[in-house]
Amino acid sequence: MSLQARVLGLSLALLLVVLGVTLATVSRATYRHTLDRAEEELVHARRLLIDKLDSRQRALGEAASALAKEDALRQAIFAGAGDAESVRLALDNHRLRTSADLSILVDLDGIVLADTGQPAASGRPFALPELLAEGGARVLRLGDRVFQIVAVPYYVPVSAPRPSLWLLLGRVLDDRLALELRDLVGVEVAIVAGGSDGRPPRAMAASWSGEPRAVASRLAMPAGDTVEIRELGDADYLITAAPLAAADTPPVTALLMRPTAEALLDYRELLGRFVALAALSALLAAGGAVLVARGVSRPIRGLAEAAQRIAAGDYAAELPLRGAGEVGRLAREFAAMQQAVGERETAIEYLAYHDDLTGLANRNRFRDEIARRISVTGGTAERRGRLAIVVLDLDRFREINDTLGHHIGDRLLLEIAGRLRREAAGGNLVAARLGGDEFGLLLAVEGVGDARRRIEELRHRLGEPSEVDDVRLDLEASFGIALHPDHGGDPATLLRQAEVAMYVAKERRLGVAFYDSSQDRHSIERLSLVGDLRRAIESESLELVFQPKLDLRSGRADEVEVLLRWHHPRRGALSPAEFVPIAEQTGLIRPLTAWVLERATAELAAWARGGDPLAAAVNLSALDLHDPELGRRILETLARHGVAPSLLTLEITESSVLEEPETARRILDQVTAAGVRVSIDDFGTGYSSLAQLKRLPVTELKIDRSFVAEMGRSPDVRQIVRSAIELGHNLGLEVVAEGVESDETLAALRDMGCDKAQGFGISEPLTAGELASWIAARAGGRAGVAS
Amino acid sequence: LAGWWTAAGVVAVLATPAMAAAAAVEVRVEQRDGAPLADVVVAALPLAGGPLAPPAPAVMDQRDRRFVPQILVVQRGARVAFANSDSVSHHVYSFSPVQRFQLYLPKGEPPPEIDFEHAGVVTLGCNLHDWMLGYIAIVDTPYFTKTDAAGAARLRDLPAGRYRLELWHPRVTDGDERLRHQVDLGGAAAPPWRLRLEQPLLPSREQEPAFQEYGGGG
Repeated sequence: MSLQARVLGLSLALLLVVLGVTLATVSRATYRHTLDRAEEELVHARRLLIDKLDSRQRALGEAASALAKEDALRQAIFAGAGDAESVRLALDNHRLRTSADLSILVDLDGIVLADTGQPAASGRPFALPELLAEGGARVLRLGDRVFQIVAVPYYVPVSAPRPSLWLLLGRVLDDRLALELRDLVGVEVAIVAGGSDGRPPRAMAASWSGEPRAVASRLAMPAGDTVEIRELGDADYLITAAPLAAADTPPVTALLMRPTAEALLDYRELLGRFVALAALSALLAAGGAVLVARGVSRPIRGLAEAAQRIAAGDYAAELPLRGAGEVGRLAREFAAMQQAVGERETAIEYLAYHDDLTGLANRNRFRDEIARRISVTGGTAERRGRLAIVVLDLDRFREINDTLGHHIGDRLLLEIAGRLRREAAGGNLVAARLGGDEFGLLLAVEGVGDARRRIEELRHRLGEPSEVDDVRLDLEASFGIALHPDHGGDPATLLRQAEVAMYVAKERRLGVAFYDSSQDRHSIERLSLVGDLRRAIESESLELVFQPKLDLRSGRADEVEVLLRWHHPRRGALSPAEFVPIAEQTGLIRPLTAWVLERATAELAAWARGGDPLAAAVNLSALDLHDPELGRRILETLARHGVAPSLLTLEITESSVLEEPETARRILDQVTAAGVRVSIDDFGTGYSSLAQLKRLPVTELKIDRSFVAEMGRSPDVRQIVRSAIELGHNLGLEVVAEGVESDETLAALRDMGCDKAQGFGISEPLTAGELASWIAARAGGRAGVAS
Repeated sequence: LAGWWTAAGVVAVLATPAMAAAAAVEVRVEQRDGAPLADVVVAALPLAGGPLAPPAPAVMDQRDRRFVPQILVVQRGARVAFANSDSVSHHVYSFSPVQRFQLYLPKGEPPPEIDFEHAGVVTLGCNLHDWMLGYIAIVDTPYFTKTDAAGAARLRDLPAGRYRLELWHPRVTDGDERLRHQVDLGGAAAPPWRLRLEQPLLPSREQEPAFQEYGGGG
């Protein structure tokens, strides 16, 4: 339902309700009022009628009194006493001078002397002796007519104290009188005799003729002063009755009637006018509502259509800006909103598809672009060649960032971005920053060879050193390439594959690597391990194991190397070599190291409490030595567990110190000052700097297992080991040999003067419980291995 | 029609005893409220028959448009002259059954005379002056009088014997029995008859003819 229809419907409905209620109220009130007024008028008419009849009666009485003083009549009556007919004729003669229709003389004994209407009545007793009283008056039915009769005493002489006769005068109540009364009181009048005395009522006179007269005769008289509505013939009448006869005579009633329709004429006219007025106002209101609704709904419809266009992305949609008031204002606000939304969408789109820092396309945009290119090439290698998706990642960016600061790092990224943008400007190449120091390139190639050639060229151009804030930086990067459609069909897969290839290139220092599905499996496992490892640290499903270090001089094992074992729920036990690099790459190494230190220190404390204190060596990652807080945390942990710092050895590699030499030095100085020992692990495999070694607060060298394992087979290696031992001793360091697998090797090392040895030949890594048993067994039969 | 007249008349008059020592009787009439009633006709009718004295003539005069006296009592058979002392004519009538007559009395003419041979009351009116009202009470005895302003009447010099005292007054409505009283007058004075009316008097309907003397008095 449209707004217009609703506004129209609602206002019309409201108006109709109001008009209906008003009409009903007014109608009822007016009807009641009109009827009341009609009733009042009828009551008034009745009063008027009664007054009229009363005055007629008085006039009749006065006429009778005057007649009784008439000398001639007196003569006629008394002089000719005894001659009834003469008296009657004289009486009738005198009656004619009055308005009376009837005259009667009755003597004091109640005997009729003369009756002008009834000659035969003379000498008979008068029928209504109760009428014979001073002021006696009645309305009587006599024969077929109704009379108003008054009686006056007839005094002879006039001043005599007692009357001689009764003189009665009567006037008929006939149609003429009814008409006269109607003209006077304004309503129809009927004189009805009988009706409440058992005799059927009969209309003796009426102001109208025809049907209603007959009907009036059948009518039951309304009681008392009430006004009633009666149906007479085919019309309703308001009727009321005025009893005319006294209680001691048969009933005679004046009936006053008025057609209800006539009484309600004013009402109907008023009602008609009101209905016309209501119809007119409904029409006007409807018209007004239509105008208002149209004025509101048309712009709103326009706005709705505009909104649809905006939703569809058409921000140029033209809005109905015309109009004042709320709707016009809404339209203007709408237009402003349209513009603002358009601008914001542009901004959002830019943000969504562009990298903040470099202004290059971002990963989303890059993925969209891959999809777009794929759809353009149609996915067939034969027709259009191939699409190369390239991910490049700067080498050693992290070190640059950490050592030179983010400011330089960002400048470097901008420099790369600038170079990539220049490449892109050459055409047929899309550059994007995928995040961090990772960039994406998209270019059309003919095949693997073409791709390799072009990427190598690109790598060469990008690799030119850059000067950032007077710092000269080599911009070396690793490139991973995935080819469409050879490697995958959808952008997400291709991007991931290129990233896997990039990791491979970086790990193997290949510079450029193509995606190989065998790498992919490896990479997926690695990625899944990250999550598992994080959960493992949190759920403590990692386990510490301990590999004893044997003191070759005393033959005692009073120190252990702490190693991690991870019982992976699907893959079983994993060695640190399998997951520590992942931890290092994903930043999990710090929580991992913290966990190991915490647990190892707790074990140290337990052993010390057991009365058989063991020392323990914990491996630190190179990344751990980037953390300036590490030293403080180690000492704090030791103090918290009440473990002597001299019981803890930290094993580090030479290269790990070299990454952040200053930080590493500070950490190591801090802990060694407290008594913690430091061991150089994997000695012999890295680039050793004897100067560096000498500056570090190191107490121990661990000769790498690769040398120790080869000792038995190669005299050269044996010589290297011997030299290393001597070097260590010359630097004042203890020397530990790792990876001892046979008694021969152990014996040779002892001969060479090596201080300690560890390896499967002595003991595999043991759990805490196993270690206790092993030490106990060793104490029982010490000679076994040592000898 | 005739009954009305008898109802108005109350007195029957009988002859007084011939032989007689003189006797007297006193009557006193009071209205219901004790006020004396004047002008009550009092007649003493002897119960024993015998010749009566001849009736004396009387005059009913008309003066100032009134009958004077208003109530005239005469013995049956008396001749009454209807005088006119007014300066206007009168037309006296009686429609009483006792004696009906009409007399035109022009001013200055000698008064006509009428003999009243029947006992009863004749009510007099005047056709020219409606308010005029007079009565002639004809009694069958020479012993009659009217009460004075004190309501008292005294009859003297009555022969001894038994009498029926009869009273009449136009406005009295008490029944005949109450208005009759038998007395035995045996020489000595009889005790007075004191009557207190039980019924109220009829209202007087006589009106002053004010219009008659417009601009003058009397």
